Amino acid sequence: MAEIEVKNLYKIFNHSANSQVFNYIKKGTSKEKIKEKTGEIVALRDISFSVNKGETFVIMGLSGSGKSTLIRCINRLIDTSYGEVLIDGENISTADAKKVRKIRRDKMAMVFQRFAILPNRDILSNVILGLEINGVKKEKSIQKGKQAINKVGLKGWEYSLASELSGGMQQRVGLARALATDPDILLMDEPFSALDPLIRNTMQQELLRIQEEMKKTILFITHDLAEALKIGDRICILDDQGKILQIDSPENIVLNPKNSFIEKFVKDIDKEKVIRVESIMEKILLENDANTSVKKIKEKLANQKKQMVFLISSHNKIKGGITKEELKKQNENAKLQDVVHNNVKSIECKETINKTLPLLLQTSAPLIIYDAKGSYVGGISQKTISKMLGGEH
Amino acid sequence: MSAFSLGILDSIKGKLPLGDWLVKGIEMLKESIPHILNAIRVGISSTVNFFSNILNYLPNLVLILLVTLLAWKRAGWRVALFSLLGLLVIVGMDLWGATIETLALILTSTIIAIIIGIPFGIIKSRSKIATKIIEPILDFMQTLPPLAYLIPAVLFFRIGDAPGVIATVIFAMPPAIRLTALGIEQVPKEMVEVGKAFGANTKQLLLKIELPLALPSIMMGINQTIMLSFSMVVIAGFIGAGGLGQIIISGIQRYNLASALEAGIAIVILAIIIDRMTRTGFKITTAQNKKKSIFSLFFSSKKEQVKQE
Repeated sequence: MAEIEVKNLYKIFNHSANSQVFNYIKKGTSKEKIKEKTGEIVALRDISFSVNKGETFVIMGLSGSGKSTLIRCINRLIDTSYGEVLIDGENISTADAKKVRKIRRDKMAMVFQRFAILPNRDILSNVILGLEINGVKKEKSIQKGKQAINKVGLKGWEYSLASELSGGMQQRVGLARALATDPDILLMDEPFSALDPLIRNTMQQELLRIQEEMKKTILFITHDLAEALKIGDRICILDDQGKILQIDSPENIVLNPKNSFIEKFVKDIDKEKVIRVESIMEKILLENDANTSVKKIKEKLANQKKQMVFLISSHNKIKGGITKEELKKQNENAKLQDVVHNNVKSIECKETINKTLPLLLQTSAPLIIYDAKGSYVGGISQKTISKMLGGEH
Repeated sequence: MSAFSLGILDSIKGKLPLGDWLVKGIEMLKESIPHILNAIRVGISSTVNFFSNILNYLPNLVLILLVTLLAWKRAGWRVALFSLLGLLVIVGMDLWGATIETLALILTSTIIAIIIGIPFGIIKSRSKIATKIIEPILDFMQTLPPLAYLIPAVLFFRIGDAPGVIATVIFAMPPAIRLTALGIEQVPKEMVEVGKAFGANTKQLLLKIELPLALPSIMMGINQTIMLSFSMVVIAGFIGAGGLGQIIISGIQRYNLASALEAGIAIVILAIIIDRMTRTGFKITTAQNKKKSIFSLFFSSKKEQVKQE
């Protein structure tokens, strides 16, 4: 079910009701031109997407793409000009002030780019700020606050001041503050952008760990595609005009960038760390008759349009495997069991490509791929990988 | 001047007795609300008496030691030493009684100025319309020569401590309003967003985010209010406000320079002590700091301040 739903959202600053701005938007005029002509700033154009429960949805764009404005429209720190934002089915963009506060208290919490830790409070009372605003009893909120602090690995720092903490630790406080109220939705506005690369990496891992455990609905903003690919279940890319270019899974973004703008980003990405095995694996033939001739197998492969064959025993054990190309070089009348490479390695379909490389180097057989249930679903050979990295995919 | 006068404006010359009208207005106002004015007068003078009674109740040695200790805790040993010596000098000049009276006047004026000023500062920070109304009034209060509004104060409240305190409040309040508003306006936008994002209402936003973060600026405003009170409380001696101000005024009138100078020195000593003690008003307290606060009353407080600055 959709936890956050955004429908045809527009944000125009300095907007006056009877202005010509929509004529320009229809024509696709750039926001610089529109500002020159009408004085209005079009920050977001026709944004629609929905985020499912438990999903990590990343909005990626360069500065000026309106991504920070967009996340503030979700919890209505900024009013939307047109369109609606539904939080768990409730329209926050038209709700009255009281209702908005209730939705913010019950449903969501926010993590900020520059941490925004109150300097006059110690860490614990920063973390329980949300609970305090909610009117939770002191002892209860302290207990919950300490739990949240433990969760982000800051135990022992409860009574320190923000000024005594490093940037990474301060953002842990920001995260703990957001988790303390146990919200369904986490809004994260470039939370790791102000951190140096090593710490950023740690924090990304930490977020993935916490998310694995808590299954929140996360809306994550970033300008860094690598971060988006690492964290997101789905990624929404905004262009510099505040328009959505593509909403897709990380692999599809990398493998099928919709236009040259995204292609430019993708070029610098280590594809093998993003793409999962399942999205490039090839169809396989599972054969349990060890004495079949090579000729017969070749026919079968051609008929079923499959790329490689694995010989399995009656107990579903892999005895060997070979690709179509290698099979062509073999004597047609040889038995399958005599031509296959033994020592077949296997890998789960959710793993990324970079994990297959060491396995492929250990053996001349292709890799067999199994899914979460343990059944064999495909195969990868060195050729598959080289094809993908060569960009032929 | 008359050489350049074209005679055109002669017809309106002297036709605008603004002063007379104002005095008439004041008289009318005074007659229409005599009870309220009387209540204010009594309220103020009993507050002044209350403070001077408390301060006089303590033996002067005890008070001197208390002030010294407080100065040590808040501003370090140098200020403490200065306080001790300065207050002994005041006793030596036989001005202790007058100093207490001045202190009571200043306490009363400052408290009234803060009670009125901080809420107005909050209102000013909240709305542009309020700023447009309050700003010119503040300019008026700060630039009108203090001697000019001693007379209306006397017209309303007769002579004594009450008009002195009122005049002092008017003169000393603007920094409290201005610096409160400034402090709130300067709270980083992201901090306000934190409060809003967690669902804080206007009151929670003010009490949990804005006022605590504006505190250094508000404390500076209070400090400035106190300092302005000092200069006004002397002028208020003209209209019968007691204390050191009266001694200075009568010293000038009778050409008794020695006593006027002594009272002037006493004012300066008192002003410096209070200024130093209220200047570092903002302390970040954490649970750990709270635990050792009694200990730090005697030790390490100076070091803490350096760190906070």
